[in-house]
Amino acid sequence: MARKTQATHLARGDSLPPAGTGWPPEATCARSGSAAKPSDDLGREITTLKALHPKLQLRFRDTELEAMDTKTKLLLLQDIREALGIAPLKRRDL
Amino acid sequence: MTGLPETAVLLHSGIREEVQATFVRLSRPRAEATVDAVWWAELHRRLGARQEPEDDEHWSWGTIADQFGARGGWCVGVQTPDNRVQGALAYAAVPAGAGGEAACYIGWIATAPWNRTWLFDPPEYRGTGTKLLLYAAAHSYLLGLKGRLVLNALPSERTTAFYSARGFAVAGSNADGTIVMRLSAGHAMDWLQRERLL
Repeated sequence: MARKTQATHLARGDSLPPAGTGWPPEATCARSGSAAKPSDDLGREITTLKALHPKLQLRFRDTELEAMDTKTKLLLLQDIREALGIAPLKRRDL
Repeated sequence: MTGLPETAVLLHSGIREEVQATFVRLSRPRAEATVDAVWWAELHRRLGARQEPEDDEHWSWGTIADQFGARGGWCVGVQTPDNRVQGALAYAAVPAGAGGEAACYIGWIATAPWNRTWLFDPPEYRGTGTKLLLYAAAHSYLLGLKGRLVLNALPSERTTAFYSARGFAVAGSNADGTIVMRLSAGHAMDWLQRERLL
């Protein structure tokens, strides 16, 4: 009986069915007005946060972001998250 | 460096041991080499000809990675130490609007065929899809979206059962017959806290 219950559970819910319909037409970066997409992870994260939270009033141009070094981008990202009340994840292993 | 999750523990059904997998960014070449060229060839080798193809057998993860990478989204795989990609996910941030609250929108998500319970009993690895969803929820949180996720899926009992069990709710339907499933901020934050990420 237990085995049957487990089998039913597995059939219904234990394995992810593929899902998706593609790129969302209203995605942030498609609406941000910027033709240039940052090529690095930090730049992409900052650009996305800027587009999602316009009230932050971040005053820099995308070209200025591209020119920043990694350390500056990292500090900027930390500042933005702090301003938004986003705490770092307590662990990074899921 | 961006503070995102780096690794995930998957359960290998065969050896009944936990295996530490790594989240990797999928570029077009990497997706083509590790997903498109592997998943279906290996399925065919293991199971031979099948009458019913999988819903995603025609997907090109190389194209998906290219599209999401070029437009400002993300395409991520979860890779075991043997360099095999066990599952893949493509998503983008969507602002608040007619579609609802701002969220991370999952454009595509799938696990490798050998991890699907309806194809293999037992599947090779358990937990791959859940870890990919948890990764997306964590990124949604780090983008200030409180873990909210949304995706469109074909309306099947299997789909609704899987996503409902992880806190998603059906939020509507589309003209093409797909259903909209949403993970609310409340459910997402509960999940992230239960997983001790917050």
